[in-house]
Amino acid sequence: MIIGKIVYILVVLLIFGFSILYIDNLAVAMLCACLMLPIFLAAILLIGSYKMKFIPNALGESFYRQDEIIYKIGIEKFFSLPIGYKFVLCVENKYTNETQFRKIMGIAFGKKQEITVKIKSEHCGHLKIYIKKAKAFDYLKIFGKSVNNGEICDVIVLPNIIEIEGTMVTMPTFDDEGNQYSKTKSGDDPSEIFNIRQFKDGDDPRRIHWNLSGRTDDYFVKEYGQPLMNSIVILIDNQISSTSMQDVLFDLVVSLSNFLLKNGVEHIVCKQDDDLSLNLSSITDEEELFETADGLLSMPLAKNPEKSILDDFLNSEYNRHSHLIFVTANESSVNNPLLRQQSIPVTAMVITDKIKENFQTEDNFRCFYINNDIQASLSGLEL
Amino acid sequence: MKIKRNINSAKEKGIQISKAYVSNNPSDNKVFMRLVRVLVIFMGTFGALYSFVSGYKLDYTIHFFITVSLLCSLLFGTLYGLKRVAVCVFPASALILLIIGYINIDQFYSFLVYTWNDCVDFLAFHTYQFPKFSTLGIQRFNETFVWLFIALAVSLIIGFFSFYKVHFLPVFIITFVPMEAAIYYGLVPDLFAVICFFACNAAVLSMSIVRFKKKYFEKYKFFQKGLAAVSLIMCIFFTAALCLSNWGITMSGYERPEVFNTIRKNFSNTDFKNLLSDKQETVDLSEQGRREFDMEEDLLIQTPLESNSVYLKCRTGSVYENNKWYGFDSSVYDETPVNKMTSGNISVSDIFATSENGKRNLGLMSIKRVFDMSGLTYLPYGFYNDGSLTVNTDEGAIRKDSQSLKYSISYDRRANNFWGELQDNAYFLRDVQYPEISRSYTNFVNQHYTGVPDNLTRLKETAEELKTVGLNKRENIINSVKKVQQYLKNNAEYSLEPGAVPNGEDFTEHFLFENKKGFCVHFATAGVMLLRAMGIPSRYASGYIISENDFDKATDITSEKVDVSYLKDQKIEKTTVEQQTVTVSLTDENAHAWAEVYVDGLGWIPCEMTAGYSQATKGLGDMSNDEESETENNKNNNQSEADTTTSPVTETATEPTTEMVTTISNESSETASDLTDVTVTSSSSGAGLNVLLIVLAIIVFIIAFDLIARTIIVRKRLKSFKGRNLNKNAKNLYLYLEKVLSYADFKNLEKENLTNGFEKLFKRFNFVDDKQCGDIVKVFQKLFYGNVSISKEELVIVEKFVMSFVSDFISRQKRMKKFIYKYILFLA
Repeated sequence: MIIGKIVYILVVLLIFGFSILYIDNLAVAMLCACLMLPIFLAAILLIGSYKMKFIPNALGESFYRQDEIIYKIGIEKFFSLPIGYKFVLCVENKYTNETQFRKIMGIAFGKKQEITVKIKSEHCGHLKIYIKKAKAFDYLKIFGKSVNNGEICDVIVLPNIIEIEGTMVTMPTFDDEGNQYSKTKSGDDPSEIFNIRQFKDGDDPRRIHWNLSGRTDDYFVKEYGQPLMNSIVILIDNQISSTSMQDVLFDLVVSLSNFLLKNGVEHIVCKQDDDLSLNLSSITDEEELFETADGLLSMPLAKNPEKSILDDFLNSEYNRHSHLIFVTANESSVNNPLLRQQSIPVTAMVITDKIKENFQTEDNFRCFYINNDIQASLSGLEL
Repeated sequence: MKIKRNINSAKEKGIQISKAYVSNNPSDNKVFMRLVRVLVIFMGTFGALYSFVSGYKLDYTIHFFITVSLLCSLLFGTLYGLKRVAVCVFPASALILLIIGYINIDQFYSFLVYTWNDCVDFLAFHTYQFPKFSTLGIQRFNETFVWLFIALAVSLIIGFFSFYKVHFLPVFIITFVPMEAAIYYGLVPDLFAVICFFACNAAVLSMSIVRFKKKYFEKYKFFQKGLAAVSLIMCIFFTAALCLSNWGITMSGYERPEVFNTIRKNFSNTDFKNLLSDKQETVDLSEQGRREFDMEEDLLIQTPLESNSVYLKCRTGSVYENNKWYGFDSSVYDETPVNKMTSGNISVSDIFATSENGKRNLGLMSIKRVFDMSGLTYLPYGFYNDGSLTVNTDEGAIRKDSQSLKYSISYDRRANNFWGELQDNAYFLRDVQYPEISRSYTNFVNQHYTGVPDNLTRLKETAEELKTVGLNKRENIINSVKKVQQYLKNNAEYSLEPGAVPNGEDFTEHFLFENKKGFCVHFATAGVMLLRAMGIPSRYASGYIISENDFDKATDITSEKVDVSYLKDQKIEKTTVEQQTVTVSLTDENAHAWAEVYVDGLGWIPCEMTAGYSQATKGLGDMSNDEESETENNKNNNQSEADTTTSPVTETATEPTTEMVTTISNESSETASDLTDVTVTSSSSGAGLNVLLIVLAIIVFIIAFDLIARTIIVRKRLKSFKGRNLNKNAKNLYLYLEKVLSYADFKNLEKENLTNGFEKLFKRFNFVDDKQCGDIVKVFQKLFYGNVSISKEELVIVEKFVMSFVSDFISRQKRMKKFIYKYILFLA
């Protein structure tokens, strides 16, 4: 716009010079026409941009990575007179703190016009799409007028769910602290009677059902119920250096969850909150899976590498599980002795860009090296 | 493990924003949009090229209308988003109107040739001259510079910095309107300016077209800017070159603008109504009144003649019928060997105007037509044709020399007074060189140029009374002419407002016996009819007369040595003589009509019939009796002076449009409105043919455009199905299918539920194979929901299905819809 104004002023000066130096009717007429031109253009601008507004709309609220997000910007105005416009389309990814801009210029002809822009995000996160600096211009770009920008559109880019070709081998073991009880096995929870049977040698005398035994000639004992608990935990290590690895991690977590759900295994996803406290989410259905995926996008990257989530979790009261799946991008954490000394099966999934062979130790510790091809990396997974 | 890609090589930009494009294009008025496109192309094309080819010489009203129509078409196109159409209008317009041929190609060609000749002349004569600084030169330089600089520079700057989408509209307004005004006011009246204007607009257009191509915009950003820079430089160069050349030309004193002003004004007087109406080649002599003369300069004559009148004949009228003068039908000439005279190498003048008198002094008369609209010019009597001119039979007019508008004609300086000199010596060529032709021509003349219509009984009676007998043939002719002249002088009065001829009455008899008032047309017609009734072959002639008054007003009187040619021993000899030459400017006032009488052995002799002009020429009737003629001359001198000063020419100087002159095309006269001159009937239905040609050309253009556009679009579509990316190809096929289905009001094919969509498709279109549908659904599901690439076989399946569906769908439609789908919407 500044350039247009400068050019116009130069032209006016030139014509003015000529009309002074060479007195001629035509030169004067030209000067008058040139001076009237901005008024004419301003009038066109005012008329053309009357009640002009931008109405942005993203087709959808959630997308997957590399999906095309179709963003339509409707331009409405009162008159059909074509008028120029310019605005800047901004897309921010809150998770990766990345912002991209695109200047869009055009001519709005007719009363309604719709512009379509396709946005692709390589990384997961919450995208904020909005218009700023929207202006209408005359044909020579001498005058400009601000126009209503429209609302901000929020879009979420979810991690991709990848089909994992694996099998569930070990079934969940049982713990004392569950709320549900096993129907096939007894436990030690006295609040629930699993079974009543005859006394055998070695049974705890405190479990004798005295009421029944008094009425019979035999001794009967009560078998207590065995409370059940979600016994697989996916622990997410947020020590990640690059956003691409972060994407792989999110994909991996979501895909694992999906795999477990498909196999009917309810599980827990554990991550760190902003205050570095542990956040455990139970996933029993798809809805909770997506909520967890959304929550993952709020997970901050680890700021204190020395205080890792692994240490927190293993030393916490939540460390009651049957199987631990530790997802990390930090290869060195695999050698954590606390992790290796767990009595329960531990599966470490290390996100890396190098080619490494998976391995398994005698003490039920397995390590998978995951690259961007998650499906191939976890081929033949057995949990 | 197979690593498909290195994580660390991920793209730097995590967010990619594509280019924006306008997406709303309602399908319900696509047919209308297409028709609008055609209309826009036509309007813009017609308006633009009509203005251009006419050389900005049209009447201002018509010009304004055309400019407005062009601007409206551009604005209309822009409003409907037809940007590409709007910006392509200008280049397309040149081709279209040339095809239509509405504009007279000869006019345009003349304009080009004239401009080129000017440039050549300038270079030839002024190469080594560097004249002084002049006010006129500065003024012209300033005017040119100001207009062009403003128009061209602003247009380029706008094009360079503007949106590239509708910039052509303001560019066009800013360059076209001032250019129009400049040319209209005579500031830049030359072709070079037009070329510059179009060069600049073409440069700006090229920038916009490059921008329109989406792929170029991203990929060739630097190229685009480079092109813009080159265009800017080119236009600055053109502007500077034009201004400097105009300055240089003016400074050297080259008088070009006046000519162009005349050219422009001549064109602006063109009666365009006549171009489309049934063109009347004949003239109804009963029309009242005469055309208003604008006194424009038509001819510039440079002649060594000093004081004698000179008759410049343009055309003749041979057949008098129904108050009109007609030319002969070409079949008339086929009857006689006279047709040999149409070969262009022999003329009647050749036969009769030369002599073996070796001392005959052939002068050189230069006739420069200020603006030449046709292939004809004016000839003095007794002109000599050395074979370089093409003469038409006995009409006297020559075909235009296509390379020049200036004719230098050798003629006998005493041609108007050659009766005495020629009578004894004129048989040479006739009898020796062309005996057969001259004899046959005499027979032809006696057969066709005598006799009058039967209904002119009173005229016949009068002619009978005036007839002279008993003399030899020539004396008989002389006396007859004298008697007719005297009769007309005594019985008729010169008047420019004789009134209309009542319906049903004959023009000649009404003039002779009732009205007794008229101007040269009346006198000449009556004279010819009386002579014919007396058995003397005669005909009507019209052209220009250079009278004594004109010689008195002559300018550029110079004495110079002139190469003159003369005939000696049957050969043309040349010599140099001291000759005084004058330049006479002829206007419409000098247009005149007279009679011609055929004298065997001498040819066609001019005879003045109009009262008041009889002293201006020493024609046939005056030479037989010198004393008598002198007395009469004295008597008539006063009258002629009075008459010639107060009675301007009453004959319009228009070009002949006779079909008899087969080499002449139907040209529009620059003074064609309100014709009262003699023209010749043409049997051609020129106007109707023109309209038919225009309509045909429009139809051909529309068909060609449609076919070309269809071919391009269909090919582009097929190419999009054959790319390397199979998924993309499949998606394009899906979109194509969706588009076709939208025209069938089927919008149920949704990506979210393909199975349902295709089920409904199967139900709706029973020609679709159910099994095929199932396969297609699987492929599309894999395409949209899977994260894998489809195979080639699957793509082939999809392609076959889609193409066969579209083909079946269209073939089952009614004719009109089928036509629309194929040739307007370009679906297949």
